[in-house]
Amino acid sequence: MTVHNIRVGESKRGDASDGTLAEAVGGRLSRVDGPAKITGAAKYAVEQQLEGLAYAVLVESTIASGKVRAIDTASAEASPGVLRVLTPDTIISLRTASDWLGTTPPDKPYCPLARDITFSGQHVAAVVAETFEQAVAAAALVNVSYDETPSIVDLSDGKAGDGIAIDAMTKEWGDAPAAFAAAPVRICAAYNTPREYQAPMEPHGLIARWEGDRLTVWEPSQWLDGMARTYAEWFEVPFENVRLVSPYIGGGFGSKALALSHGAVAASAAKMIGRPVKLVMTRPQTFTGYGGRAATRQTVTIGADRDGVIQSIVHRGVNETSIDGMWVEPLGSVTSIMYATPNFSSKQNVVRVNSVVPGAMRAPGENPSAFGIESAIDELAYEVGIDPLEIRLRNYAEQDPHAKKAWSTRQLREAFAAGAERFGWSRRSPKPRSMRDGNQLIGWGVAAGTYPVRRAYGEAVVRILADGSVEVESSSIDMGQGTYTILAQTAAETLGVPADDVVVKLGDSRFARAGVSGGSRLAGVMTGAVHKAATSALDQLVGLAISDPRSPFHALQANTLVVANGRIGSPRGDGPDVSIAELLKSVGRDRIEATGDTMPANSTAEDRYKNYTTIAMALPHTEGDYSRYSWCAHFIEVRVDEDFGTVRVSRVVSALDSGRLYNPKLAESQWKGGIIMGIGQALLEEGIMDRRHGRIVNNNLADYLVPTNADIPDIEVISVGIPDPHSSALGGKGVGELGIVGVAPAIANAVFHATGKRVRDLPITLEKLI
Amino acid sequence: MAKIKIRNEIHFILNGRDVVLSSVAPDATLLDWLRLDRSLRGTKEGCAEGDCGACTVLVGKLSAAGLVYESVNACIRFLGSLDGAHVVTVEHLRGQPGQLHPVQQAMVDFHGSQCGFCTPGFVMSLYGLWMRSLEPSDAAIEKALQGNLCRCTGYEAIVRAAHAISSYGKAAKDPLAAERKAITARLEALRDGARVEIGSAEARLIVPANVDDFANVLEQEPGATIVAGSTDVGLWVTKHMRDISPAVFIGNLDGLCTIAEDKGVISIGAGVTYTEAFSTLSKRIPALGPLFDRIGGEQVRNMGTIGGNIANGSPIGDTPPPLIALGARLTLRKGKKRRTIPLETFFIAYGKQDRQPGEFVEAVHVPVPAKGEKFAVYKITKRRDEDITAALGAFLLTLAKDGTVADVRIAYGGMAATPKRASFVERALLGKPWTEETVETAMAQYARDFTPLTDMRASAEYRALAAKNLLLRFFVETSGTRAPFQVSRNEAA
Repeated sequence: MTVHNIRVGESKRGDASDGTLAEAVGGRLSRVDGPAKITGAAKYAVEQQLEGLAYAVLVESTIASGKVRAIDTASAEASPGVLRVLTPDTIISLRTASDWLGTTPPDKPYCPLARDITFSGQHVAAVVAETFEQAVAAAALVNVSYDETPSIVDLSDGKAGDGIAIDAMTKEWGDAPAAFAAAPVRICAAYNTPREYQAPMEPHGLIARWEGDRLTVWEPSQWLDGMARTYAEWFEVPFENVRLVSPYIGGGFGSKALALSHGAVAASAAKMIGRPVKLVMTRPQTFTGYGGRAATRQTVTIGADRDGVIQSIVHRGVNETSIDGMWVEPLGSVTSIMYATPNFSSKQNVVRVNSVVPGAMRAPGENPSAFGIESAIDELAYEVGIDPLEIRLRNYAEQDPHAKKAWSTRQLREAFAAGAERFGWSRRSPKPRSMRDGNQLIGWGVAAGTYPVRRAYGEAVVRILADGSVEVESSSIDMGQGTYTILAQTAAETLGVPADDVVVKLGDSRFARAGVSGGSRLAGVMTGAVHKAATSALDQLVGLAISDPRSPFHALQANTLVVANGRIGSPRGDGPDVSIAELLKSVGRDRIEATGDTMPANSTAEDRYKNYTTIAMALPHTEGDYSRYSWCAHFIEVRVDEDFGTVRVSRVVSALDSGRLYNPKLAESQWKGGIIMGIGQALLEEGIMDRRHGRIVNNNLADYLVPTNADIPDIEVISVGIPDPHSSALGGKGVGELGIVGVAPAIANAVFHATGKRVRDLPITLEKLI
Repeated sequence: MAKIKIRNEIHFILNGRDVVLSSVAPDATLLDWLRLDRSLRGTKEGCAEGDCGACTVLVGKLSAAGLVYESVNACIRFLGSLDGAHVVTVEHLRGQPGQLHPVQQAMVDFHGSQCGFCTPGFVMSLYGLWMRSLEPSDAAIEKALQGNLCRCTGYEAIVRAAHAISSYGKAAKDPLAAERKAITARLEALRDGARVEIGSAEARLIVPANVDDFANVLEQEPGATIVAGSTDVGLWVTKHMRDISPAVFIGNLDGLCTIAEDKGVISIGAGVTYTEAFSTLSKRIPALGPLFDRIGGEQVRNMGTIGGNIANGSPIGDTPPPLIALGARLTLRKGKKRRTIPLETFFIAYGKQDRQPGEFVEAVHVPVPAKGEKFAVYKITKRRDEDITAALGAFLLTLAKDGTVADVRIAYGGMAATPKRASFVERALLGKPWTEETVETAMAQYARDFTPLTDMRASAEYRALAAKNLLLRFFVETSGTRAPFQVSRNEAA
């Protein structure tokens, strides 16, 4: 059984270039889980070794729409090593689970294997065998016949229609159409983004084991408690009976937050054969086993005066969803807040297509939204002949134009200034096609990005042990962002112990509960909870030292004591100086334990359950007097070989406002990761459909092109944030999603500057430029 | 001919231990064996088709240059191909007692890992690089990392770690350096000149003793799957579940892995990998250097062979067009009989080559361009590295003293069902002055030579236009009117 323990002392310390002690909050402590990862010792969820493990392999639909007529399993069942073949008829019946809002589900059975086919790649059967090879071989022998019906391939399909209006997405003020009609300068353009895929390096998969009515699931997860809830509801067992274990996660980017149908298949199989079952998706299956970013279409119209001051924005958006699922990618999210405008209208439809239901992928909503508005304002800049940076400043929103509230903090002006300075924006030649180096046209583009501060309540346990070491426990996770590291820093700083002495345990749903690690909320939520727990533990420790008759400090009659570097002393340095271990020994305690819980004091058990297993209790980012967002500005240089249409990003300078950074080394890495994913989005990434079969063609890492090292230039990131007390306990705002938002429009804008060609349809592939 | 000794097991070294396997399926991969049989799970599976590099391990083999370690993709490397090799996984790395290995410490300190799933693969690629080069250049680091994908941190931190490795420790104290002599001796001892035959009926593998033995084996087993680098055949197994039995592994055969030049013609044995051919080819035919740098990633180049790239007949293989333009000839062998044909005639139609049952590609012979001949090759892809060709053009031009085109050979990949010469275009250029006007006129002939397809790599229209622009680019470069087109940052070319 692996519970993940990370001790800070196993890694070399980071640097402290800004003068902050590396291990304090805000210091550049090196990732504490680094040594485990670089030695290969880090065991990921599906690498657990269990006695009696069987292997399940999925059989997927080869049609995009229709019905399963029959499944012939005879050959598969006769194949060597096969334990069971699961079909819609033979798999055990499950109950439909609630969604991530906790909405009461319809009272009907749930079958993770489909009879009614709504997309190609849907799971229709599964084979369980003694070995993986035997399961693969037998899966190929399962013969499924279908009655096929015409499918809607994607948004460009003639049968797709206009879709369903999502009224909740409508945002309007003033009279946008009239103001647009009256404006002397008018921009109107359509912007498209394709299906994109999270493509984490670790494929999805799990091991499920039943012991009586208790289920343990080892699965890479961004949300242990949320997934445990779903498993519990599917199998109609108490929530407490389901344990999720996820010590390391090989990347998620939004795709590993929910329990998915393959998980239901594996857990059902385990129950049916009475043995633990492992099911890991192949790389191609990861393109249909869950949803990537929905394809989107937006129309952005801007009415402005001749000085480029915006009078009106009218925005219409469409995203695809599946035939029987609902995914709304909020396309008006950035449109409605980035620039000041007296008149605004945004509406959105979703269109059903024969696809797996799309899902969350790094900055869902904000990312495609920014591609629309940040391209459109660039078009406006050229239309009125104003520098693209200047026009953004001219329309700067001094408060949230939609919520009509003050920004908690908005260092966007500072971001523009710092980025422009570092990039050398003032040396830009304004005209398109005016900068060149040999065969290559050079373009400079700018765009802004933003992401709301998602907040939630959190919980953590902090223990001071007899030897003076400290344990932090939470069922939150670390998929690479650095949770292990920043929570060690938080506990160490709060308690006054060396970070070496802190062990952080994450990734097990038996620990203190935690909500979703998504929407860039985890760091703010968890540092707050650990800070609270550690403060409470410290109070207990100092209380004992002051009041326990056996304490060496008892005679001092002090009001308070100071704990620093693992030792306790009086504030003035007079009197005893003992280690935490010595104090605990003297007062006869083997531990001090405190739970930090940031939920309101009158919360019920039901509130808590809801808070950690759904997203229904998340605090609105515009709650109270403030509107809370992270901000960034990207300055990007591209080089275009016009004869072949090849684009290379040659330089990136980004200035970002994520408030206070808990660990700049980790935050910078996440920002850069987002920027790199944005480069992929701009130039490389798109799901390509076989229109005859409604099937994705490039469902592998050779053909779904994610950036390689050679695609990535020097990236400079500058932090312009200041502590934001309205956003989190320790002053940070979101980091993980922010970096990607605005990268694609900055590149498209740079490509326009280089070539004079405006590409409004991502990705900007070579054939769009010649 | 002396009777060949037959052995029914494969021998190799895994990290420190000798391994003898007598039961090996022809399609068993090194990755599955490491993770499932040996529980060495530091080596990750991210794609199972040689794209992501999470499964990178080092394979050491004895060569003319001694014991050489190369990074390979364990996911598409068959166990059967490892006879006589030393397999090194991430678990074998260690530093001084109580310390991490310098490669690993650099990766920790420079934040080269986020989610950590790609990390062991990166560590092994960097380790392979560090063993060759203690102070690698940017270009060398770029090459070493081409075959490793990271989705979290990006690459900058890893590149910085690569530069810093030597500041963390001395190569002499590295385990592989310290064990070099002993491992060499152990590998020497494994060389017994035997043919390996394992399995029966539906699951057989054969590792011939040498090239002559291979010829015999193939005559007896004309339906066998020939596996050289397995960068393609590996995918037949992991993606397409194809049955490759009986499989004949020829990746390291005596007599098939030589590269030699005689009278201006470089002969490359069919077992020569891209990496092994690189130094000779990039020195003698410099334009091939930057092209080779963009074939797959380093792991693929360490495994894949030029012979395999030709023999599988793909219309988008990167080596046939330049070799055709250079006037290469191909030697095919069946038993003791050999025939040598112009390379372009080998490609008959899509999926069909001029190879008889029991016959195999033995060598390709590449004339080095004479002084005054101009040669260039350009590969167009969406992603610079690790991407499959959208269009690839190769050009060999000889000008007469009067500036007219005395001879020209032009070949393309990605434009037809096979690698193909642009015969009509060539004819339109022959005898004409090498001017922009001539080039512009000749461009009309492309429509007669090629009817490209639209696929996910490029549209037919794009390909048609890019093909013409490549000729224009070749003209511009050879006439010296514009700076050369840089396909990659490359130090060797």
